[in-house]
Amino acid sequence: VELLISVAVLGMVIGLASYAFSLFSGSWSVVRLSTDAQINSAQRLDLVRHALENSIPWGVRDSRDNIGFYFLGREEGLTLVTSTPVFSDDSHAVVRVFREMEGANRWRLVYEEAPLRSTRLTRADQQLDFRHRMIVMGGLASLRFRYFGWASLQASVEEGVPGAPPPRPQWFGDFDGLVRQISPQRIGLTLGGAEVVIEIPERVSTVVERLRVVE
Amino acid sequence: VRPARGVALVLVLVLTMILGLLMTQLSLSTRAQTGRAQALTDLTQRRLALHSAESVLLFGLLTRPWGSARAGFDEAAVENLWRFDGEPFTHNGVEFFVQDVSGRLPLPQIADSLITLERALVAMGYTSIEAERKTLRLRDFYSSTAPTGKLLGSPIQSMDELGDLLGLSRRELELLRGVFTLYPVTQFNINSASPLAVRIRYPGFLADSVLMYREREQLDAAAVFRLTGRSTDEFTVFFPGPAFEIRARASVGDVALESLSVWVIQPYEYEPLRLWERRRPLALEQFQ
Repeated sequence: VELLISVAVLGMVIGLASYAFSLFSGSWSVVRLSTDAQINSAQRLDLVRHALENSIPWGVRDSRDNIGFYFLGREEGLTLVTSTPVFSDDSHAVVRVFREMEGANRWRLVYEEAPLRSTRLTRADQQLDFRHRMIVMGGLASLRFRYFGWASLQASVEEGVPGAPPPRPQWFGDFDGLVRQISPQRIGLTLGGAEVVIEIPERVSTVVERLRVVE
Repeated sequence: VRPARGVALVLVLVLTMILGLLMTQLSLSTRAQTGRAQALTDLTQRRLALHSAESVLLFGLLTRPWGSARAGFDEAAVENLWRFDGEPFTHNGVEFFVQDVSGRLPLPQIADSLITLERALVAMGYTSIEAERKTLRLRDFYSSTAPTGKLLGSPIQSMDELGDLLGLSRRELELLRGVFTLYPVTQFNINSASPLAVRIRYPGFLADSVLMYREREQLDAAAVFRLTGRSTDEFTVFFPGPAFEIRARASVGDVALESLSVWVIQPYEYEPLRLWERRRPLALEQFQ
């Protein structure tokens, strides 16, 4: 009888211990999955940040042969050329980073890529094959872009009117490199409550001069 | 009582086995999680170290004269360690390779000046016929026209584009990057140029003499006059700037994090610090 009681008590203890452990590990798994998702999302964001940081101010011509830059930035997203795309390891690429609606009042950040391995990008209106797509992160309450730079190529070289403050680079809600004939110096990306500012290369005068030389 | 003998032992063994299994599972799970957390911590620390060291170097370049490293002086100050010929130095635990961009040759941007590129390809091991064939591709690229007869007119805008066009391997392209730049250099810093760039600029035995004088730290305008019989022109200089390629490498254990950027530093301009280029470097191990 004592043996039976001791076996029963032991069984209960083991059962309770297993149940407690499974509860603990279950809740830990939820936390771990959430952490893993956050880490994966951060890694994808890191890749996109690299792609933006390593952008190339790429000179092109529009339909009327005017020289400008292949950079189009709006509040909802941007398009540029980068030397470090996420998917194409061995070539530069045109990338689009933009927001998409995800349910009510929520945004997701999307990345798309068109490799330039066998494409020579010379015209602004060229059709490109954006064959890679990645959802970087989702569930964001706010997501918007802005751009810091000179208002135009002309503004970057002019001295300013006497008596008035000289032109200076500033933040813009949109930035069309073709119209302004210049590329921005920084990209501001508001993700949720925080803004990430990414400094990007600028080589405006050189590219414009070279494009004019070969005209 | 006799039939129950040994049951306690069995119970203890079963219990030990269950506890053992639980402990093993916990231990494996903990090890995997701590390993991942450690990797993330290492990555963050390396990134911070890299960013901080790069900022210190840029601040030094903005505020200190661009003289050569001075042995024996305070080694905490980056200006006493730096050099601009692409050779490494270490500051705050981060290894730097700083190359003065004026020590590179401008990548030929028009079709009638491709001789330096051809010389570089020959120096890299191509036969003169192969080198000529490759440079012809660039010549065609520069002078290609649309069916209407209109010149398409597009310069090379990235070295990757050049690599694709000439059919170069990544290693060959990295070698070319050590010689040519897309930055609009107008002067050639004979003191910071790589030996290959010196050989392309000064073909023949003259390059050996230039490099010998440079190794002895005796290369100046007088030495160039002695070697060439001509005074140095305004396109040959002995000082660095204003563009610097900064390659930084922070290592923790076996893993290294690297960055590569080209900055234009003009302390007295309205925009004293401008980012010209940033790209992913080819790993040193891959290159060497």
